[in-house]
Amino acid sequence: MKKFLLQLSLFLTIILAIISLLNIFHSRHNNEPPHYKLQYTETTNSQSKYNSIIIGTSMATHGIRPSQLDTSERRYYNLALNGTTPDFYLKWLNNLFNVSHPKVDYWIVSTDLFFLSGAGWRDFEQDSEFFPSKNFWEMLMNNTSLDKSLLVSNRLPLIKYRSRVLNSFENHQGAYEFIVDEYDRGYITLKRNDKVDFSKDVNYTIKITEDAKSKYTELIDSLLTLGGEIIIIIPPVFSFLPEQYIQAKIFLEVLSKEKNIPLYDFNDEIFDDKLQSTENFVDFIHLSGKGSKIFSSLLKQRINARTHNNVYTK
Amino acid sequence: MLFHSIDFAIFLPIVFILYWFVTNKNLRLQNLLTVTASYIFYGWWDWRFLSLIIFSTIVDYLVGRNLKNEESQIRRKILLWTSILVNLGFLGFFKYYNFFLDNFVSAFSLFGTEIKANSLNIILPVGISFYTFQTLSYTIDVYKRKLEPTNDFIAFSAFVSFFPQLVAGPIERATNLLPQFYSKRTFDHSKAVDGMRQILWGLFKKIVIADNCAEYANLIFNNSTDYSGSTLVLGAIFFTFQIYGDFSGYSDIAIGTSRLFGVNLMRNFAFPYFSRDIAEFWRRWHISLSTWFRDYLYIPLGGSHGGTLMKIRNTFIIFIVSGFWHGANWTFIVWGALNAIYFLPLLLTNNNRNNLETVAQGKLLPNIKELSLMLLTFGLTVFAWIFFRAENISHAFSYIAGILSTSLFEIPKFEGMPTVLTTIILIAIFVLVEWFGREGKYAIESLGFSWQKPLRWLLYIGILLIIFYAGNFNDNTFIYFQF
Repeated sequence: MKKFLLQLSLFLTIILAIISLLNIFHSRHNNEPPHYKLQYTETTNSQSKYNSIIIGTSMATHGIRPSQLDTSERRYYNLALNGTTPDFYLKWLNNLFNVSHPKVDYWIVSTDLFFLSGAGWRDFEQDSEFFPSKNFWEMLMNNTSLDKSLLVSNRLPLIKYRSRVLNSFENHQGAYEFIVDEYDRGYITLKRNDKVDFSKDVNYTIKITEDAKSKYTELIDSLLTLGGEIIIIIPPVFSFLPEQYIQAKIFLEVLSKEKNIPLYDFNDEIFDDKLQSTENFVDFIHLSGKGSKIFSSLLKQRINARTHNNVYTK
Repeated sequence: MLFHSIDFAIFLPIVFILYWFVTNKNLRLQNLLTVTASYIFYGWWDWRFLSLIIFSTIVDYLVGRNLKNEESQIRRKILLWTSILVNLGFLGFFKYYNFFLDNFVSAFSLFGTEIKANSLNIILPVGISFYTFQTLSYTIDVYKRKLEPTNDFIAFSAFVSFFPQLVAGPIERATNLLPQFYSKRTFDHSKAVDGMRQILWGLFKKIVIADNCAEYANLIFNNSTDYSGSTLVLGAIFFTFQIYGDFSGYSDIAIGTSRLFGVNLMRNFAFPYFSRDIAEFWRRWHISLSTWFRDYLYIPLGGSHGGTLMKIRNTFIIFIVSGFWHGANWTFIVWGALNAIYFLPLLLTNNNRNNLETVAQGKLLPNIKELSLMLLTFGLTVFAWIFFRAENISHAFSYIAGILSTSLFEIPKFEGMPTVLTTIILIAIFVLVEWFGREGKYAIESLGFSWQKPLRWLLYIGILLIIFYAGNFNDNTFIYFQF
């Protein structure tokens, strides 16, 4: 028995050493988009100088350039993350942002039909790798509403990036690429490696559900209780406006009136001709680097018009 | 509790330490720990169903005790039938009640009589088919005076509920397992190391082979009307490896775990996909169930003795009952009948015991004849698995019709194609390792035995890394849990 236990201990020690080395390897080489870590650093930055925050999905991450929006009173940071949902941001607010970040004066809530369907792939817990240790342990020990196994397994790069080893072996070339050089306070330019046929019809199967709407309302209410000013924007899409968009728009218009929050839809005719070109999009829903400059500029004009009580004209 | 779960990874070392360091001096205490651990293992799934195991244990223990002193043949028979009715009663109710009810209603509706019957929302207790057959073997052996009934209730409870094989076998015989709980187990270093090795290989089979194949098999079977004939063939092959990896993987982990506790379980799989005919396949596939049916059903029915008609009858009975044991669905019955049809020509021409030894024993490769026979048997098995996997009979026939179309000659295509190559490579490696290890009890039993220890350990670490990186950890339970 003694021999068995000694051998087993030695074997497990070797395994543990290998695991530690692989963990270090995966934390350094994981092909993770670079903006996530930087966005989370800002999320939990108690010394932050940014008083205006953008949240939403990838359409905002790759569409809104914060430095283009800056004014003397407002400095922006884009904390929109790919694949998020209102539920994600509720957890994000309660467990990270509100705990560390200074008070915000201005929120831009970028709301596309994917965000409003609640069908995003991103779970808050799956970003636990980026959480500061103090927040992580607090969530692990005291927060019963979070998925603990997701929280723990995503904390370890070895487990989180396990499948990427096989993907690289299978020579998967991701359709998307991020242009790191154009990183701008959470914004990052998106590039597509494959050709998108813009002449084709697209069909989205997502649904705007009552549950998603109620989570979204809860998120807006949570932001309102923080005291800052809020605007809701609908980011532009290329050429088509599906049935789900109409449903989302109707809901947002009612909500906007009810809560007295301005709503700007960048698919409205007024903005159309400046954005509706294939050069401005990498696919039907994501803006290109060029498109994001135009969109950010339009957004700034729209915000300024409101701030100075001007009527916005084309 | 699943073998490939964090829960079990914590449970096993705790039980191991208590077993060898706390209770090792006292046999009854060690057996009591075995029973307690087994009940915890089972109760982790659903505590309520522990009562069924405990009730079966008490009934069979008392029946055994009474059979010992009973000389009257009639009373002995009553005792035997009490045990059979209680055990098969539970099994029949939980597993087959709705099936019989639905078919009864359908049969009457054929004659124009409409019967209104309400199906019950019954949960199938995990492993009920396994432990029921295990306890039945005890009562039947005691009745036939092949086994001395036990006076030790704790040892008997340990035999019925021994956790490594409780929920998915191997279905142990009382003659093999029960006596092991009568004497103190002593720790055997080589047995324990061998057990660990077998657990490792079982995990590889389950997590890497079975669960990866399951992704593709499920995708193709669940959307079979969307795919070409060639893709459907690929789906059936994936299921063939899924079910083997899943079930034999479970058996390997069960046998390996038992060896850590100084208990030897019977072998359940002996490289069945290298069989040269269906008779050999059934000597190598789910051995504990095949031999159970052989000893307690086939032989009492007359076996292969008697005339041709009796042989045909007995063959169909044993295969159909075996199919039905797997589940309350006509697909399993057809799967059993199909295997009977495969088997009969061999039996009737006295060729059912041609291939008793391992294929190409002592040789590196099989000869052309052996290879052809193996491929033919494999093909027949793959075809039969379609019925096993299909949702219902019409699904199975539509799947087969899909295969037998001109699209059979197209290049397979489905959503999982970009990643399928890795799984095919892993299957190829798996088949090679199984081939070279086919003369052992399990594939890696003697792999690297002549190597220096560091190299051997490197091999095990390599397998662990493959499990980690290529394994599928999507909460897949074992297929045979549902039986």
